[in-house]
Amino acid sequence: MVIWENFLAIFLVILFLMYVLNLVGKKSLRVEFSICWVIVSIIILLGVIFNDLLLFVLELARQSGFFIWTMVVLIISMVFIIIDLSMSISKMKTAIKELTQEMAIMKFEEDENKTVK
Amino acid sequence: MSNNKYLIIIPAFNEEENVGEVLKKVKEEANKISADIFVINDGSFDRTAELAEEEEVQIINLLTNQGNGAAVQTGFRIAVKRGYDFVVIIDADGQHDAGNLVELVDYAEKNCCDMVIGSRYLGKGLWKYPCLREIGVKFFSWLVSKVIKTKITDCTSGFRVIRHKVFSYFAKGANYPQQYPDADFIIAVGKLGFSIKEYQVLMHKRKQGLSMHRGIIRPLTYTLKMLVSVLCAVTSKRNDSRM
Repeated sequence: MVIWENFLAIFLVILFLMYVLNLVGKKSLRVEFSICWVIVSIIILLGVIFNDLLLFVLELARQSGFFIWTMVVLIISMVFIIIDLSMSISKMKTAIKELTQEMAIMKFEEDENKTVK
Repeated sequence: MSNNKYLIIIPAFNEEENVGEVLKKVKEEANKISADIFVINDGSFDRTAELAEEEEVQIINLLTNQGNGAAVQTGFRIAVKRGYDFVVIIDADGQHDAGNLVELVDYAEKNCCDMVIGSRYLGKGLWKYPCLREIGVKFFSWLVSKVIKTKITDCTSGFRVIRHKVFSYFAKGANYPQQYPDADFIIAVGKLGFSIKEYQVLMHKRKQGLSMHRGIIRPLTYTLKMLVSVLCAVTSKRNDSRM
């Protein structure tokens, strides 16, 4: 990889990391679901920095022709699907928490009213 | 003490070995300030609820375990509904010395603080964490102090007194961290313009039961989650000083 490609790749990874943190900040993604994306970003960053090793691995697969590009598109699609799922799970977990709290308070007040009567 | 209404919130998850003794001591202190006590049973599957009932305190039972933060937030919601002026959060594992409860509340009132954190590092604390955890606490406390420009020595202390205008904000929705409301919560409170102070308290080593930070994986997970959470709290735009 030439130097500008290295920098571009690093920039994109950092951009992705900022996107993940922004999602957490807006409460669209829970902290625990952001961890895997933080780790993925770090792995990609290491791949960019140690790109000789990465190129060696890719060279091995190069002989498959279009294989690499298909895999790249697939992987990117998977990433976005999983991010979307993580956001949904985050929303559901928050909703479950709210419902659990509300039910517990209602049950307590109901028992309290029964005791008073 | 003034005419303020006080609520003591005790979040508890599987603390059958400690809850009885903790409640006996807390009740003694609560009587001095006419405070009400609520145990928030966070989906325990041992005898925590049963033993708490024997101490004749009020108990709210969450059907499933939702995390320490969710349990405390339930207490906040009750406090808002019933018009309490202050809440005191004290753990059910016996680490927080209930003897400091009244002093903590008194300090909050006299100094007009919105939140007072009971710190084990301000003098009285006889017991401290094991080395690695100690480093973690010191690091996060330093980070919090830098961000909110207020010296915090013990950002992981769950022994806190919180004023109505603070807990009423965090009683809503996803405002309060569901699992570990530590450094990130303090940063959020500071960024909202509320005043935060610390007061020296005595802390004890957990005598019985299992810590939620036991082992190696749990503390590592906690550290990673807290780093991400703190980063988000720092970069969030919640600087609402109208609260």
